[in-house]
Amino acid sequence: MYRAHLFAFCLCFMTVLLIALILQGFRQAVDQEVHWEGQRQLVSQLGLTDLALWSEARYTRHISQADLFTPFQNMPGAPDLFPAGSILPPAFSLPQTRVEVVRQESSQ
Amino acid sequence: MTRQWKLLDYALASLLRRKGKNLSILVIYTLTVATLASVLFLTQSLRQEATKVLSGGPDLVVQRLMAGRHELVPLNYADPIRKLPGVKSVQPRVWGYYYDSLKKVNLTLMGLPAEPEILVLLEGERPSKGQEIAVGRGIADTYGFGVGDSLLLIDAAGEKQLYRITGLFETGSDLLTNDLILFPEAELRRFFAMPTNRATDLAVSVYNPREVATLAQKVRYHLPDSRPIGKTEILHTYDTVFHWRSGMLLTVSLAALIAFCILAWDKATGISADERREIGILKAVGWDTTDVLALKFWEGLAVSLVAFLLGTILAWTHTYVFGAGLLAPVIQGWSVLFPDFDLTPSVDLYQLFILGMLTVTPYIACTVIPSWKAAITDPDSVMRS
Amino acid sequence: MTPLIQIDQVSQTFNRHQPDEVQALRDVSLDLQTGETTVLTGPSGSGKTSLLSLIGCMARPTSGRVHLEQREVTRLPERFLAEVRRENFGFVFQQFNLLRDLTVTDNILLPLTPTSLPAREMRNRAEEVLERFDLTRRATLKVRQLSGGEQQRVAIARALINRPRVLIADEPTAHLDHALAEGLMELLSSLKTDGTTLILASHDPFVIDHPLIDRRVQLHDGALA
Repeated sequence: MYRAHLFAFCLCFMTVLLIALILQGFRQAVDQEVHWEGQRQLVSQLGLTDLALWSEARYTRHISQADLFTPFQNMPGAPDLFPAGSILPPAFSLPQTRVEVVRQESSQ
Repeated sequence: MTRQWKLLDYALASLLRRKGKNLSILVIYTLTVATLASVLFLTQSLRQEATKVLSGGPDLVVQRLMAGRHELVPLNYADPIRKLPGVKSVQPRVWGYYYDSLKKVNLTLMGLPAEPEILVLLEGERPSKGQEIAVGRGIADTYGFGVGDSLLLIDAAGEKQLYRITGLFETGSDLLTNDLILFPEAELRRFFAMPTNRATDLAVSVYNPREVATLAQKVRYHLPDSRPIGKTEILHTYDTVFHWRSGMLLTVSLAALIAFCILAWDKATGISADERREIGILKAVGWDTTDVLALKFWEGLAVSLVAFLLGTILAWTHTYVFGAGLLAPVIQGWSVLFPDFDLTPSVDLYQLFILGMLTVTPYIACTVIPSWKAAITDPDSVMRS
Repeated sequence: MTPLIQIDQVSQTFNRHQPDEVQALRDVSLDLQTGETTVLTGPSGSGKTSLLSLIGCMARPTSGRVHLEQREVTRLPERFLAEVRRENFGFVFQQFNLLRDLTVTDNILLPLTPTSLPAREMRNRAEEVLERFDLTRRATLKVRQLSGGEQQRVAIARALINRPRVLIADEPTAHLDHALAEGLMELLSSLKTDGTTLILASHDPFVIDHPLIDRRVQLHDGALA
């Protein structure tokens, strides 16, 4: 039985450790609120729209601003900029252009 | 209760009998969970960072499209927008990209409006005169310079221009300013040779955030060649990129998960002659089928629970203590300037639960089900072996 | 006196309706009394092991019935059959059937593991049998580190840990030299004195002619001779 008890103890220990880490994480997030406030302020001062994560292409640097609809600039999902290029979804506001057919009025 | 304890005890003894095999499975299993959980934590934190920080951004960004592509906005486009009820202010933004072909680095150049006087998170001074700039920490680290040094950049006319660095952004703002160079707005216009009556786009702020969608429609009505992008869309973009069901996590983790399932299946279905014999002996000494299956359940649970807990703890340490050092290069791709992650923990317990279910349940199933057939045979086969 | 175990016209067929069909037992009827020591004899393949399996509730006959204390066990559900087996029988197998990578104690405790017997009681019982079979100093060794005679003693110790009323042993002396076989028979004698019913299967004359044996049952080609 000592094996089972030792094992259960180890499991409990790991569980408690994990819970402690998670709780510590929540606390850290609360402390971080001040810093986030500073960064929010910076964002609003400079009018930033995106995170500076991937700087290799326009559409990865400013994900939300990219005009992916512009043809032939870089195929979305192209593997040349892996992995960012293949996992970023297209931006949202697509241009509202469209094709409408206006038929010639009948001569009769 | 005692019975289950004793079965667990025996299950552990049984696992220890095949130490090498079970230990290697445990290691692979733990690493799989650690990888998955690392990606989970990382994306979740980035998502949190994005939503917390970018919520301070402009409510609406208005771009102009011409000939199917992005075009500079005439400043007088601001006038009809300003007149719309609910609009607080319209601020033209001047920004663009600059490529360094030597280091193969893309930089974002941004014009600093006249307001505000004091910039937050900036060490040193705000660039105010021409030939002054403020720079993100990532660039400073890549090129190795500090406040007081100067940068030589080539302007639109092909002329070399010298800029003195008056300020550096603080480390904490890496995720926002890593590749950023701030110029006084007039100077950036000169640098890019951008006409004074144009801007890159217009940042609009509104009184009531809930009206953004309606305002966007109105902008599009008054300025048919415009492309308004709302803040909710911006935030939604990041939500999607870093959401666990889409984007990064799915891409990276699916392969790992499938590989692990194959391993578990292979391991568990190929119930060895040795195990078959063990089950026969257990039945012969008075175990019934449910006892054997309970034993297999405990074996599976012991391995998978340890792997899950250990993997998650490892992932946590890796992501939040060591800044996701092993994962960053994978996500970084070809970016030369990539911010150091100093992430704030963010855990969605529901996701953790899903991860647990996805890793623990299949393994237990793969351990219990194949034993079923061996467990229901009559024990007398053992007498004849 | 009612018999402890009643075998009533039992037949056992393996691989029925297949080309390699084997009739292991034909119409065997046999009564076994409490406290009696019985040996099943006969050439190999005569059905000794099959009959032992049926007596010990390890298998079900193709036809016929087995009663334990007048209760029919042939058609009990598997769960109850395992319980009957656990509570009434101890088995010593021809190949010992020990788990070689487990310790002596772990092996001995196997029959008690799926019961709700408290751990303390289990430990006491283990100590008791270990001492009785002179295995105390070997308790923490792995079974594969033991000699043949010691393994035999572990096998018997395991069979007795649940204090069975009936001990079933299949060819108990097959892997023992003469001195060890004598020791074994002495041990079985002491069990008999304690009131355990012994059922052995053997074709070793040393066992068959041993004064301990009360009754000899001859099997030939699956039937009583």
